[in-house]
Amino acid sequence: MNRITRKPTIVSSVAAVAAAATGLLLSGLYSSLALVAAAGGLIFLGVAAVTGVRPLVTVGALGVFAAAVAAGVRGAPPIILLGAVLAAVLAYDFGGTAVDLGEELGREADTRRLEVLRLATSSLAGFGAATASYLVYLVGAGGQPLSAVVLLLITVFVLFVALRREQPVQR
Amino acid sequence: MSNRWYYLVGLVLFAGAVVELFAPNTLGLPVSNATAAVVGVVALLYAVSMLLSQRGRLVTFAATPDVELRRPTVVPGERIDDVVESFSDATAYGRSPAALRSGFERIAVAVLTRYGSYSEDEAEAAVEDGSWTDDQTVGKYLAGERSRPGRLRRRFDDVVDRPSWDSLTNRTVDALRDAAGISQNHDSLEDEDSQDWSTVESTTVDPEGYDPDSGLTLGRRRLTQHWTGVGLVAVVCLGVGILLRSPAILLGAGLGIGYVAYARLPAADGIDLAIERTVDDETPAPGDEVTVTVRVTNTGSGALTDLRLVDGVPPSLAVSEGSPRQGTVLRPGDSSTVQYTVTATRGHHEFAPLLALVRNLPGSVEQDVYLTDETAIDCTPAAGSARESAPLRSAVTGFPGQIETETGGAGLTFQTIREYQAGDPLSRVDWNHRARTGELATVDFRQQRAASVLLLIDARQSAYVGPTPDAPHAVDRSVGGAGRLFERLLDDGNEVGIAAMGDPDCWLAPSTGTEHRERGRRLFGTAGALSPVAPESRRMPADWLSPLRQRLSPGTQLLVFSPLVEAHTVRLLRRLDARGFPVTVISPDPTGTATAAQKLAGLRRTMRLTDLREAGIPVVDWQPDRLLDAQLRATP
Repeated sequence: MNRITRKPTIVSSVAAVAAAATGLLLSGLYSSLALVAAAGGLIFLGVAAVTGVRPLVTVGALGVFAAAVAAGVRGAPPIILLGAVLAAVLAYDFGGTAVDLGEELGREADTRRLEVLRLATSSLAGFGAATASYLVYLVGAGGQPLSAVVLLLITVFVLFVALRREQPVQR
Repeated sequence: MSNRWYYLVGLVLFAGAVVELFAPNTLGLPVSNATAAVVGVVALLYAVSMLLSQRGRLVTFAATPDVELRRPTVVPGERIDDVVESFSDATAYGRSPAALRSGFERIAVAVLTRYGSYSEDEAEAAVEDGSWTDDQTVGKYLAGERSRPGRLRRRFDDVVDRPSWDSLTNRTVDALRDAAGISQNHDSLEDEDSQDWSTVESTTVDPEGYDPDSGLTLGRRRLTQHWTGVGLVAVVCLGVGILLRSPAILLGAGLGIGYVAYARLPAADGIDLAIERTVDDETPAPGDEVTVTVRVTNTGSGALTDLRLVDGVPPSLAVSEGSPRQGTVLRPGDSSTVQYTVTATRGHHEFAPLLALVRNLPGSVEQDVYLTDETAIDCTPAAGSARESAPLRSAVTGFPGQIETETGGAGLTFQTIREYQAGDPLSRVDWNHRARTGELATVDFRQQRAASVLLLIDARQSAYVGPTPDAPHAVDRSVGGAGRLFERLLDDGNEVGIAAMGDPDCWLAPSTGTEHRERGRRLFGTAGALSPVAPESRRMPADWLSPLRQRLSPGTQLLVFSPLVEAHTVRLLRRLDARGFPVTVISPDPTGTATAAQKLAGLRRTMRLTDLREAGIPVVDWQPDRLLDAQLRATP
């Protein structure tokens, strides 16, 4: 018996590349710069899926995210932008999952159940967050006093910093 | 600042925002477009600081062992300095290049005096002028004319293709082996498709401090940092969105914050798993395929959404089909089955605990869980008798057997013709002699007698060595060979016993009979001392040698199986031999030829064999690629 292949698992790798491709389609429509950035990210993710080098996943997902921001700068509508950012985050999550599942269990092991559930929960969490932000946008868009908006944004920022300091386990 | 303060500040700000929302300008805040821009810039600066602070925080996950592989065999000769040092009992050579050279010098002198026709002075002179070897470069090097080159010089040597330092060491060792008469054609041992063993760190689940009595032990818990960096999405969107006044980009921040919160979902708690491991054959024959079925059940109250299983395959067994790993999801009460096949080899193989890696829903925390279900495979070698008998010494018992003695009588081999004495059997009267001379004469044959033999197997930690990482180690080969000789010696009518060097508990007193034979077979298969995996600790000779001496009855022969990698083994065997326990050594060759250090270790062992032979102890040098029968036939 030979050693196991400690390379990214197939299902998650394909999902990561598909997510990145979706991001490319969404943001590439609005800006040529976005097209280039997303294409670069897609290539990096593809290479990461073959080699299992984790930093390449990060770089690839960053490319897709940068493309989404560039599309936003060029005036992409909120729905498109949310989709593109979601695609970038999911590409990062799926790619990372593929790499560490591959490292821990290898390609030979049966990991489909785990992967499918992981894809579903991450996507659901993203859709939930995206829907919530979009609802806030629909309700509160336009005509709010500047002071209120700025105060709200500072609030969001402070709470975000607090959230980041939390850990999922008690130390 | 504790998090409570952040939340308090957040609350106050939020209250202010609500007030401003419904009654603009009641608070009289100096908020302008510039203020908004400042908030945006602060957010971006925070993004930069996040990037900087996360550079060192790498994504972590459990490094799972290569349970599919057999533990690689240690090849003697790791560092050249250590091997050089092993040639001398007293002098420590140190580690400098000069010390290495003078070490080689002494080895050369020792080799020349022992294997060449040199006296000590002549040998020293020969090393001094380099005339002892055909390789002039090596001759000059040991004569001190060629010192270790500096770094620049070595670069230059590489460029003009002159022998580099490593190849000089290599050539020196080759020349030394040449002088000792060791043939150099062993290189065919290396397999073409052999694996790279240098990166194999562990081949079984080996938890620290788990409780073998309880079924489940919680191990370490780690933050995987899987979502590290997703916060960046939030701050970058926030900053860019504010600066560009783009509500669309601001929405991205909401998404990012959502994921940051998701990643902080609590770790899975109250994990409870049950394991049940079965093998379809607990006592297979060597080479049999054994199917292992592991069933893991979630007996806790919560669903396990990310469960990664790695079974604890015994380090001495290799997986031949299927995978002992699985990634799965278990609702409460559900169970999952992992099935794979291992190829059985001789010995007692115990399964290590199964390693379960449990992650929480977002995958941000990973918990090691060890699940124990004591399972073992006992593989007893097939009962086969060696076709060649062992080269026994002439110490015998009073019972008839196969060893020819100097005493005349009935037998097979002619010894002498002597005068007829009354009572000699008619069958041995030489009638030709009678016809020629008219006198009666009797033919004497050499009497054949049985011996009492103890098979003594070197099973100390140091004996678990072999010529390549994927070759069987010397203990496995010894046990295999000893098993076949055990049968053969019993067939020949000898009393045969079994003992292990290094463990006093492994003992079977020399005896005969069917029951004894059966007990011996079982011992070879499953004795703890003859385990296919090296013991954890070294044992002192006093632990096992004194009990052994007390048990041996006088005149018992020792048939010793040892790779002879330790210097004091030779002394010990000579002492046993001198005390009236005639020793014969069968030595499975464990030395490799991949590196200079390994080749030098081979030379060291050859010199030990010579030491033993000079002390009158017969030694069979059992080559790695040969069956013992073939080796015994080839050895006169």
